[in-house]
Amino acid sequence: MSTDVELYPDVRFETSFAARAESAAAKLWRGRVGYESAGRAWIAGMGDDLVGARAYRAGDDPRTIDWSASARSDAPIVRVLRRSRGGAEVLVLDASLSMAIGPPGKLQRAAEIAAVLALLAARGGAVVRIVAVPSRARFVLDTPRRFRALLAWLESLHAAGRVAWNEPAIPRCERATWIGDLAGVDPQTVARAAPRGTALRVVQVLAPHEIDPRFDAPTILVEPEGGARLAVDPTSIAGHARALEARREALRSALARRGAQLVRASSDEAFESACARLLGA
Amino acid sequence: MSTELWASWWERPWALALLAVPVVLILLALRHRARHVVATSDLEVWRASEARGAASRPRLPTRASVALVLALLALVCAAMAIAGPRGNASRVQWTCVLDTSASMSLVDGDVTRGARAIDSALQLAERQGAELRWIAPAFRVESFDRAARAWPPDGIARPTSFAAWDVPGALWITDAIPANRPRFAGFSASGGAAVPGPVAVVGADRIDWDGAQLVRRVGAAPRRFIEVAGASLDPPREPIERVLDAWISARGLELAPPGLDAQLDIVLRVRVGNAAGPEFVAGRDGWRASGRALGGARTAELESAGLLEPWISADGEALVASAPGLVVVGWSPGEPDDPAAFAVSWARLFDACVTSPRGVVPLDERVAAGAAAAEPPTDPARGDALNATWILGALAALLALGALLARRA
Repeated sequence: MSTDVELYPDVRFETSFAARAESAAAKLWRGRVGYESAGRAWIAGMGDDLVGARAYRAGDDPRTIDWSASARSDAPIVRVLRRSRGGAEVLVLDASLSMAIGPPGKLQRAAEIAAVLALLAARGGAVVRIVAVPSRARFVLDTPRRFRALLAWLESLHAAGRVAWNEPAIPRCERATWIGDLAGVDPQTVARAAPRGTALRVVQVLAPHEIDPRFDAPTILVEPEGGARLAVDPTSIAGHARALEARREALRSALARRGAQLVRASSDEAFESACARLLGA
Repeated sequence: MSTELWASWWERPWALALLAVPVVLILLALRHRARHVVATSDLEVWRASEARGAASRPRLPTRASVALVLALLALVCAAMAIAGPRGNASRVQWTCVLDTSASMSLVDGDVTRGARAIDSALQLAERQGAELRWIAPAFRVESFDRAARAWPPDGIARPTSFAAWDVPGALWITDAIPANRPRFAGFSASGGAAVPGPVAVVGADRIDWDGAQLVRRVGAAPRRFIEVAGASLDPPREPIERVLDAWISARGLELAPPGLDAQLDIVLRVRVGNAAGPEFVAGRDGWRASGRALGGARTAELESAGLLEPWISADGEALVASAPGLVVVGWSPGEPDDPAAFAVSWARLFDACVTSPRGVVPLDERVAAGAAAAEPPTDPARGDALNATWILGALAALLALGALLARRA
């Protein structure tokens, strides 16, 4: 689909990116981000190995309450568990044409986040499958040593096409992460993207002007995937902010009902901060 | 539009080229606006917000558009301020007073002295950047065709009194440099050599001036006609008709047949009213008579031109009025108490009003007018109107400030 707007469909890592990604992964690993968070933490938390106990905090999963310890104490106590090493993890990277919107291009930032998350999971002993949609291209990272190969594979991606949400993209696995812009998709559909029993988290990557549109003249908005156009003027911005927040809340609610996590990242945001926020740092 | 016209309105007309700046900015803004296209993946969100807000949202101008409009207006005002509008208050206006004497109609070379004086005045005004207003106090000036430089203007003339026009801003259009130089007025004098020719008509003879002496041409007087409207001289019955008939015979004039005015050399027109009015007793020069007022002889046109001078009045109303070449009779006197005084009095009136035949110009008008000369008048006092340049400059500053505030708001 040809458009008269500039798009950023390719992924190009800076030479320092690999070092930055490894550094970020190492930092997140050392800090055991999410170790004491709610039961859906991804490095440590919900799992099989008991690593300690602490006082209950608002938001903790009630299933982690240690009733025996609580009975001996004046306050509820929760068990802190660590996920067993290993397992299968899937990272789905949306590489549809809408991910070429920027600047910076959303696919670029999504690929950077995916790289760090994959490296982190590989360090935890998981076998990570990275799947690009809609092309279905995939890469398997079974050891951190193949990280450079992962980066090369990510650089081969090119934003094109449209995601077919009616086809399940996530195979059965222990943990799955969807990284994309969730353009135009129904929140319930997102929540059903992963099979039951698979822990799901979603990273919504949007361009800066999609989160905080700033224009002071009548503007034509173009949807690259379908070519649809809509003329808006600056007086629509306030209404857009409310509608965007309503959509975010609908997504968060739908995902929360299945125990999934939603994080929104801007494509002009450093990948380190997006990863830290996702992992509860 | 000519450069001269631009210059007459602006002190620095070249500065108007700066108006191109806002025009270019407008074009750039339109181009920018036309190309403002943004890609988004959440068009549905925008549609939802549009559907919710479009009905209630007023279409307000954006800050940027307000700022842009204010900035453009500021630029326009600034350009006009730099160009320096003269405005009516600051423009020099001269009043050209036309000499209506017969000498102005004398042909000197291939044009009349009057046409040459007008050309000289136009050149002087162009050099001085003055705007001209033309008047001929002794003429019906509306018929004066400046472009054609027709001379003399068609109408009823009285001698011009320049003394009343020695005021700042007045420019005398004449042939000879005034003997008494004006103190405030300027002049445009055509100059010119002496023009020999007929100077008078006596009975059937014509008196010519050959440049050195007067020569009597026996029987060479031109045919002269009188036009009488509203009265019949065949036969004359009323006292006025009898006097007029006798006067025509004594002066060697002929009664003009109707419908041939343009072809005849009519030296006097007499208009007699024909509507009965109230009875008046009036008189002058030693005679008195009673008679009815006659309406319809005096026209509003002549009244408004102020050309008629009352000759006999009663109860504040002019019954008989005159002008060069015209006698208007609005009263029908009966038999006067002194018929001799009555006849002499009216004959004097007709003699005073009769004009020279075509081509006959008094000797003092035919003498040389000397060299051509032109002097501008002193400037008329300019009004204390606000200077448009400062107003525009202040307005430009205010608009620029408004644009900044609108941008930052």
